Formats: sequence, C-alpha cells, structure tokens
Amino acid sequence: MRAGMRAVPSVRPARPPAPADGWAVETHDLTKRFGANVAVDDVELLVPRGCAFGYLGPNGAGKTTLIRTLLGLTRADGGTMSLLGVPVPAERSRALARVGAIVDEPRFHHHLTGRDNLRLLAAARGGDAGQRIGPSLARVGLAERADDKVGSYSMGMRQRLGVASCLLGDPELLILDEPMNGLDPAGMHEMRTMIESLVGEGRTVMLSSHLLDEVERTCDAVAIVDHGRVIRQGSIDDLVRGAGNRVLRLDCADPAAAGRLIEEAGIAAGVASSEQGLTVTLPAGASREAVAEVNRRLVAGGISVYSLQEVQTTLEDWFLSVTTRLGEQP
Amino acid sequence: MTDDISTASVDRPWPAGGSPAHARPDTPAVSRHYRSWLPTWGLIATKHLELRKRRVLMIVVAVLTVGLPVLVLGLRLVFHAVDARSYGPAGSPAVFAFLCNPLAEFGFIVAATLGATAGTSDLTDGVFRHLVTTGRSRLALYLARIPAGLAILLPLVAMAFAMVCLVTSYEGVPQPTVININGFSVPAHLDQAQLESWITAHPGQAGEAFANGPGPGPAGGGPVPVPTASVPTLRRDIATVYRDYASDEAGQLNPPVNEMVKIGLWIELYVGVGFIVGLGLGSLIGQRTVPIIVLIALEIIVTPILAAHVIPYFLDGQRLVVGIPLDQLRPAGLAVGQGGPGGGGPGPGRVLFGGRSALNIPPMPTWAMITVIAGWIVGWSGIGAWRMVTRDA
Repeated sequence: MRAGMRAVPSVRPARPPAPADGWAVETHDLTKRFGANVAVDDVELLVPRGCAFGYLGPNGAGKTTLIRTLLGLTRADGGTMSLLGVPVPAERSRALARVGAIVDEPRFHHHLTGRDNLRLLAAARGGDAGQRIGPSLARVGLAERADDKVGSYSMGMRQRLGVASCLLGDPELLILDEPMNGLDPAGMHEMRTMIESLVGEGRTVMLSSHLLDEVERTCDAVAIVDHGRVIRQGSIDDLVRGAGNRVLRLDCADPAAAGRLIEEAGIAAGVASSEQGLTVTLPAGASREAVAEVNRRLVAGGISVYSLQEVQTTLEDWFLSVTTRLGEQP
Repeated sequence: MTDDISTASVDRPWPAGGSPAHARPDTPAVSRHYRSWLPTWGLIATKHLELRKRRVLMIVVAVLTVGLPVLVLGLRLVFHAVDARSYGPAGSPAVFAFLCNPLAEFGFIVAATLGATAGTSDLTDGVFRHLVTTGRSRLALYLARIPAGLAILLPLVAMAFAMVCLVTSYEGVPQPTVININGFSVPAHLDQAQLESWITAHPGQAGEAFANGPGPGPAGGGPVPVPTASVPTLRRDIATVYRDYASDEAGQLNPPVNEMVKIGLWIELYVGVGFIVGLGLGSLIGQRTVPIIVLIALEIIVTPILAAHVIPYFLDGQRLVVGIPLDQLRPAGLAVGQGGPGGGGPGPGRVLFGGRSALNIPPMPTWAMITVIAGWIVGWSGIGAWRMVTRDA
C-alpha cells in the first residue's frame, strides 16, 4: 500500500496555545535557501519544554539546516524563531547561554585530550562552565579517559564527549543532531538512557534523526520534516494512533469466500488475500466495534475464524506513509 | 490515507514534561563579559594551549627560530673552545647580521604558518561550530587568537635573538678602536661634532677616507687611490659624511645595546606582522595550506623582486607591499647584511629604528611606512574578523 504513496501537501495547522512557561523552540515561517534549493521551507515548529522531541526526516530533508539556523550557525532567509522564549538571532548570546548543542557529528581537536577540549569550550562559555568539566565527563562516563587524546576515542566516546560539552552550560535545552549516528547498539542504549535522564531533570532535549525506531523509543513528541517542510508534529502516540487505517490479519477457513463476504458487507476499505491469510483494512477512524463486526459477519456467513489480529502501526509505518521517500524509490 | 493532515498537535495536549528542576521562570541575564567582543583571559589561554599542543608545528617553529642560532653559535663556540687558533670567537658583527636577518625572514614564514594555523584550526577540526553555539561573540573568538599566537611566537624569537646578542657581546671578537673606511683608519665611537673635529685635524686622511662615500675598502685592507675631498666640502656635507661613517661603524663594530634593542624590536615587529597576516588570510580562506604558500612566496619571491627593481609608474604600488616598508625600517646594524649600509640611499626610515632603507628603490616617508604597516595589521585583522563573524559555521 505504501509503495507509490506520495505525501499530501502540507496544510498549515492552527497553532496550539502556548504553554504557561513558553515553548523551548518556536519558529514561524522559518525559511533558509541555498540558491534555488529551499532547505527550510516556512517551518512552523513548536517544541514544548521538558520533553524529548524528535525532529524526524529522511536524509536531505533539512533537519541539520534547521538546527544550524536555530543556533545561528547560518542565517535564516525569512521568518522568526526563539529559543527558550528568547528571540534569535537578536538575542543570540542570551539564548545560547542556556542551550547545549551538537551539530552534525561531534568533532574536536584530535591532538588535545577530552578534558582540554572541554576547557576550550568552557572558556568560550565563561561563567562557571569550567567547574562543570569534571562532573560532565563523569556524567557521560568519560572520567577515566578524560586525559587521553580525542584522536584515540571511538565514535561513541566522541558522541559522549559532545554531550558532555553540551552540559557545560547547565542547559535547559539540548539540541542534538543525529546523536545516534555511528553508535553500536550498546552506545545507542547508553545515549537513550542519558537522554531520558536529562529529560527527567526537566531539561528539554530536541534531537534530529532518521532512525525511526530510536526516536520512537526515546522521544515523547516528534515533528516530521520532508523537503524542508514540517508536515506533522505532535506526540508520537497521537500521531501513530491517528495515522489512518486499521489493519486486521485473519486466519480463517476459505479466505477467498471470507474476502468476498467482507467486501459485499462494505465494512472494509480494502481486502487482500495472501499466503499469510486475509488482510482487511478498515477505514480511517474505524472503532474497535468495526473489528468485532468483521468477526460477526464471517461467523454469520459460516466461515470459521481461527485468529483475528490487529496489525500495530509503528512510527516507521506512519513516517513512510507521510513522507515521499518510498515513492522516490525505483 | 486521509487528506486531513493538519498537525496532530492542534487540539491534543503535548506530552507532559519532566520535573521542573530546570524550568527557570525567566532567562538569567548573561553577563556583559560573555557578550563582549573583547576576549577573556580564559579564551586566550585555551587557544594558546590548543596551539602549543600541536607538536609538529611547535617543533617547526622552534627549529626555525631558536634552532638556527643554537646550531651556528653552538658550533662556533665549540670550535673556538677546541681550537682557538684556527677558529675565531663565536660572535662578530658579521655573524650577528648573518643570524638576525634569517631570524627575521624565517620568523616571518614561521609566524605566517602559526597565524594560518590559528586562523583555521577550529574550522578544519570542526570545533568552530561548537564555539559558536556557546553564544560567545565571534569577534572575541577571533581576537583571542592574536595574543594566543603571539605569546608563543614572540618569546621564542626573543629567546633566539637574546642568544645572538649574548654571544656577540660576551663571546665575540675584541672591539676595534678604529674603523676602516676606504682603507683608512678613523677612530670609532665619534659623534657628529667629534667627527667634524677629527676631519679638521686630519684633512689629508679624511679627504681620502670620505672621498667616495662609505665602504671598508678592498679586501686587502690597503688604501684605495681616490680623489681627495677638501675639508670645507666635507664640513659642508657633514651630515651625509657622518651617516656614512655611522654605517661603516655599524658594519664593523658590535651593535651597542640600544641598537640591539632596536633590532630586537624590529624582528619582533617583522614576525608579528607575519602572524597577523597569516591569521587574517587563513581565516579568510578557511584552510591553512594556501595562505602559507602565498605568504612564503610573498616573503622570498615577491618582496625581494619588488625591493630590487623600480617598476616604472608602479613605485607607489611596490611600496604597498608590507615587506618594503619593513625592510626600510631595518635597523642600521643589520643593513650591512643587506648589501651594504645605506644601500638605498638616504631615507627617513631611520626615524624609527635607525633604518637605512636597505633597498634598491627610493625610500618612502616615515608616515607612509607607518601607514602601510599599520594598514596591513589592521586590514588583515579586519578581514579575518569579518570572515569569522559572517562565516557559516
């Protein structure tokens, strides 16, 4: 069903009311162009405080460009934005004083130790950032390797050092660009645990990723971006539940007759028969009663039903249904 | 699939946040210090650390600054200690000039290399964006590189120069009481009035010594048959005569302490300019190799060519190359090593460092020298800072 499916045009949503403590990240009509290519296209993004927020999109969708624009690493061509309620770039220094960020992969001076690299960044942050070097290293589990040169670090260790550098400013908001990239399963687990603990402390973590499974496990809410546009945003549960059709898989006697029976009853959006059994797609918004109705019709038609299972929609299913990438495959 | 893709967040609650431990009711004020364009001590110190820990670069810098004097003077000291009859004292005015001029030339190249590294290392190592995301003023980040790099470079150059001065002063040849001008002996350490008195008292000797301008005479040291200048003529042109005398003195005697100080300051200025230009050019281009090659070419190819020949209708353009005014500022004590004292004729360059315009092009006024040198320093700093501020990180 997904093959060939195209994303529908974005519709600008009504803005939800701002929470009492404001948004962690807020953009209006944010646009960034590279020549004729629009990397960030009128993005309306609202990241609530105190949660893990995934900025999800396929490669080349404009995730990193949006983050770079938010952090003042590149200039926006239009729109407004604020971090923690502070407008940027007008008050960039004030906003970034409470933000920690990793953009692209975390890179450091290879000839310096992890601790020296953090010294460099702490000096740039100023204030008491220097006093947080030790605790930050300990927090990410790098205390023992802190005095080794970064050139000898693995990718996972550099990612952790990147997080440690974010923590130097005791940030309210962490913006992590593809933090799971290059990590092995254990590293991903560590990173996930770390993000959860940071959110548990009341910090907001906004992370960009194309790793759907990791985002689903880590984040409370997501925004889906494709071709530079945010096409949906909200909590993962709401998005996935409201994604569309309910799909049932049936194991029954005479699947062909069962399929005809359901089609004639007009209760399904689609019926397909395969070696695995009968797959029934219910219309969007179908209730649990619709599932029971399928069973009743079959039994009433004299067809034995051995099992009836609802196929759970995952974030990946939903993501692929709303983005264009599958449609672009040959 | 529905066409209704309005954002799920529209009428649904957002996920509850974590504990409010980090929820601050208001944005804390960021100190003025943090937003200032002036670099902090911490910024300078950590940039210094970053440069200092580049082992290969530091070895190159040390070898090309301290290494040459250590090698040359060390060998001369050892040879003299082992066989004093065959090998003279380690220090001499010629050795002094021989070491100081390369110290400036190599120092400039090393400084350009260090400057280009300081200007690009954050970019090439991918740390620049980390620094920018701290919110620190980009201008402060740029300006921190200047003292950080100079704090490495200038002490090394000073150390090398101090070695040369010490060996010249304390392990050098005995200082003569007379100097050889055109094969004739003239007392050393005369001021202009004393020289005029000496000319009046020794008309024949003075007339032949100063007849054809300065110069120590033939290799054999004997008098040169030259037309004799009259005492009234010499007294009338006493300023020129004294300048020639001083040039010869500078070439045959160890520089006095004040001259050594001038030379030291001039070398530090020379390498300092090299560093600033390297930093600015590196920051502008964003990579290290090209600025280094460009500045080496400027130092060892372009500047010597422009200094050696007057290009018709382009003299003022030649003077805009920083090496020209810097050469014109070269103190008299080093001018000997540049093809003879006062090689370029009289010039106002001596106002600052006693420079003798050791060039083959007409010297430029002092204000012009200062303007060109200051222009290069300020200009390249401005270009580098501008690129740092406007660059996409």
